[in-house]
Amino acid sequence: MIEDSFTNDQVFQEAIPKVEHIVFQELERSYLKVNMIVASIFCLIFLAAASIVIYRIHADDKPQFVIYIIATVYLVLAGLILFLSYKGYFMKAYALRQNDIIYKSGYIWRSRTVIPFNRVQHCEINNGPIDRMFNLSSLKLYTAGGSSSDLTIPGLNPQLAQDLKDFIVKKTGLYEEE
Amino acid sequence: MKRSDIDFDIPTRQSYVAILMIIYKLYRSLFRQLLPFIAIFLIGGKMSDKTQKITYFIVAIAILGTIYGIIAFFKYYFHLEEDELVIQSGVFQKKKTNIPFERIQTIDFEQNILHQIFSVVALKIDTAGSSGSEFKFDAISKEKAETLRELVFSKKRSNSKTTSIASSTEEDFEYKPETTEKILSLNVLDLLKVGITENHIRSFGLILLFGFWILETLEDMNLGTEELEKYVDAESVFVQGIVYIISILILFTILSFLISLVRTILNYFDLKFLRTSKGFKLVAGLLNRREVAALDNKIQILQWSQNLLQKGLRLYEIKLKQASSIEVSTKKSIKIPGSYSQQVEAVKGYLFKKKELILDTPQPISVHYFYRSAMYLTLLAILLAVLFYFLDKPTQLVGVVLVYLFLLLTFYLSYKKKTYTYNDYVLKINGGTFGAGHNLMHLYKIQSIALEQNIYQRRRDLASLKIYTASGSMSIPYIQKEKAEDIFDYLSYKVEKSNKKWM
Repeated sequence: MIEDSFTNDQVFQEAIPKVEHIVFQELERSYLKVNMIVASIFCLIFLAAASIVIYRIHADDKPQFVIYIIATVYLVLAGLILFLSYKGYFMKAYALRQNDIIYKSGYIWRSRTVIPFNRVQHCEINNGPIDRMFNLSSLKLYTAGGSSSDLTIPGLNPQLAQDLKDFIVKKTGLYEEE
Repeated sequence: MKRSDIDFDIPTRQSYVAILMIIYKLYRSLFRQLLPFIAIFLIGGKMSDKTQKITYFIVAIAILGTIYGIIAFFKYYFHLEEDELVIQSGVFQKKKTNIPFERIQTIDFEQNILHQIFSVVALKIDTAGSSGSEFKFDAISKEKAETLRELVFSKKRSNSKTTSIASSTEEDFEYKPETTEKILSLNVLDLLKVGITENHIRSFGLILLFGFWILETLEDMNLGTEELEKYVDAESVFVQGIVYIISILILFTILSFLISLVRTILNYFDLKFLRTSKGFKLVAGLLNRREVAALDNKIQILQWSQNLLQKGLRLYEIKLKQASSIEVSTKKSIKIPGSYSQQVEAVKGYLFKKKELILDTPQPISVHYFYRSAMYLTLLAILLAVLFYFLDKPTQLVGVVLVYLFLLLTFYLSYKKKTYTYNDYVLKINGGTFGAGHNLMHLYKIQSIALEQNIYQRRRDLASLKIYTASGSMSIPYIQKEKAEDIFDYLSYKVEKSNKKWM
């Protein structure tokens, strides 16, 4: 019944904006470098851990083939981390609409999240040490939906991040005055 | 002491009974965490090196906690400043919190036995704010608490046009019965029904844990099965084992049933579920009598559910899920057990308009939801079965098959029961495995929406929707991608178009 009223009402249906049709904005190219650096640091930490294990095995005169297994597992994991970080960059994009912001991400687990401006509690701009080196900022939006529904858009030009924040704050403020 | 004598202008501490309450709460939570250890002490008796160390550790924590609690008490001040309640606290780091009166939504009282003896109350202040929405005073003299509440709400009233007091004492609603309407009250027979149909799994788990600990100590005392097998021939051990297991199972069932019953009586004795002018109120409890309020605008999701036992008695359990700024906890939702469909309909009627409740027949989700989990389950089961087969352990093999079949049934049922439907105003998601659960919410209470796809779903053009609210998230898993996109667009459109306040 609802479906009927939904499809019969042509004007109404067309009035609902479709996410499919919108153009997503890509993140700054330098964010790919940040992504890869962070992934490499991860890999290095893993490498240190793997080396310690290998050294222990070597010293203990345990069977040598275990070393090869560990090395292979490490290489596969490191490769996977680097590959996914690389691919992940191209999946991340955002779109600003009049009334909401949409962010998509994920290479294996794809997701697309929308936060309407009238549900934004507050927003903040972050830039970590690596971000600063590449002149990047990230924008974080908080809602009352708990930490799992908060949205972080990384890899933004600092000026753009500020503009986005101002725009969203202005929009949020409008709703609160009502 | 006359009421006018109470001065809220200067920072004051809570009643000294609060120290007792803080320590009581600490020890209670310690006791709960350490129940298995304590049980071992009482039964095992034998002090091994390990248990001794653990004891020292526990005692150290208890002493440190006590000291911390006492310091925290002496550092906790509150006073009123114009239109704000100011709370100063913090042992290591000083913290000052200002709560404007207009943001205070409810002030709830709570009295357990200790409170009743010293004629003090615990005070719970709930605010509409986004950060740190709840404050609790462990113990304040009843007079002080009442004066505070009066003061806050009278000022609040004079400041704004809101005239009705969000929360009132028990005496209050007896004086003005026109503002409250009774929805449900439970007598002893009802309580018994509730107790019988409670979810016994938790009680059962508790006892099971206890049982494992006893077994472990038995093994510590070198009374393990291996030793026994040397003396007794295997066959009689097997038969005895089965008898032993069955009798223990029966014992456990009876015990867990009794525990559930006692818990129900303690929590829900003389339950009264009332409708107030702007929300609901629940008064219940035997030793610890609680009085909790839920305002309509704070309620985000209405949930009603029944397990298999409750289905037999046509009983429902209603949950009013309220907005909480911090991580979503069960404490924020009010649970009303022992309701019938009549009460469910009443609550629905209070929270939703008639036209909002005209809903389509619920739509099913994709059968791939079942296929995928069944596929993983089957793989795991085959792996385990092969393992046990080669290890020549027939009992475990049978166990694996039984558990597999049971889980498969569970997965199938939860796929079958998962349905959803929506209209211009509300979204309803149904679920459950052996029982049934229903979630109903206004569309404008949605905070954000996510559309998710894993590889499996992408290959079959499916997607899952996750709907976030201020009292937890709900999901519609495995539906056609196109459909999911439509719902995604429609829900965000509805939220953005609405100018209603979600809280």
